[in-house]
Amino acid sequence: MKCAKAKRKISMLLDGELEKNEEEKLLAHLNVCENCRKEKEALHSILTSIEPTATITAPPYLYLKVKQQIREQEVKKSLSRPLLRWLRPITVTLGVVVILFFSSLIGNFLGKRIWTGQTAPATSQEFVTTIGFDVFSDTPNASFGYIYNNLLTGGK
Amino acid sequence: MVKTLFHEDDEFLIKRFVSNDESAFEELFRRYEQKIFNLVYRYIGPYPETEELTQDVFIKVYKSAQTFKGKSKFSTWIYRIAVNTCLNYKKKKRLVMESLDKSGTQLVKELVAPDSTTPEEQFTRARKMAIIQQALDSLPPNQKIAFILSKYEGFSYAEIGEIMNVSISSVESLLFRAKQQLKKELTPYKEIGEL
Repeated sequence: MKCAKAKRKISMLLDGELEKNEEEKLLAHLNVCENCRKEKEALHSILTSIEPTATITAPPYLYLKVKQQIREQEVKKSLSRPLLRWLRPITVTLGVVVILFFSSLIGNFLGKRIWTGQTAPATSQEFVTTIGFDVFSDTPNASFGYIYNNLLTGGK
Repeated sequence: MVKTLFHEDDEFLIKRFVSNDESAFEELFRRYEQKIFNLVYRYIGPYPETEELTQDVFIKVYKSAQTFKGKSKFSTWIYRIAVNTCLNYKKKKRLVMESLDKSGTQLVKELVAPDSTTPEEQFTRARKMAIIQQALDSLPPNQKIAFILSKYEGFSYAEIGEIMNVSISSVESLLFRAKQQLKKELTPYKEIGEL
């Protein structure tokens, strides 16, 4: 057995985790290898030094504290449920209102920008011709088409 | 009610608790209180957070009891929760030797040193524990947990592997490296007789 392997086996030996045949092989190696024997003794000495010499005792009130915390968390949870029930629709509504408000602001801003970006507004005649409302220009007086045409052209 | 549950096994108790028997939880708590506290104490040290973390473990057990399916032993399951709680804990940066200040010494005294010991014995014991805790703190988290489970909780490699969800050869490797590091940290103290 090589020393590197033996060192790992020493750790397992001290933990009682070696199979019988492995243990025999290791002990045979320790009989002839002083370095590994010293390694085993040093490790054993350190591990013995850190054996627990006193009991770590939990405080006696720990169970009460656990129960209290559980109770507090359950109370918080039950209080937040009705709160959420009406908070959610209010939050959604507020969100929609905010989005609409800012959309209209942005739209208004952009609209002005685009409108003022044009060279000149279209004349009413251009508008009438483009849309095709000039079909009403020959309609008789007081007819629906006559009134409609007057509304579009401003009586011109 | 607790007395009648005393002889029942852990798996029976957890099923009783899931069926709304609070006394079953209390019985489980009593069985594992010291063990979990011990594990957390060894991992964190003699600080007030030890209590909080122990409480956290049992609160998690309380809340997630219905998720225990019985595929592993209850002890494996609760230790797994404790180990994960410890590994997720972000330790506040402070020197272990600060445990020898008033609050630290008092906490160690309350936990470890009974009233009958002399002040010198109490101090010696507290100092030794601080040295050991400092050495343990030098280990990476996984090595530290594996070492505590092996040395202080007495688990086998197979059991540690189940708790930590790693292979037995990984456990062997973690423990080998942990012991080499501890030997390196503690040999100087051993040589001057402080250990």
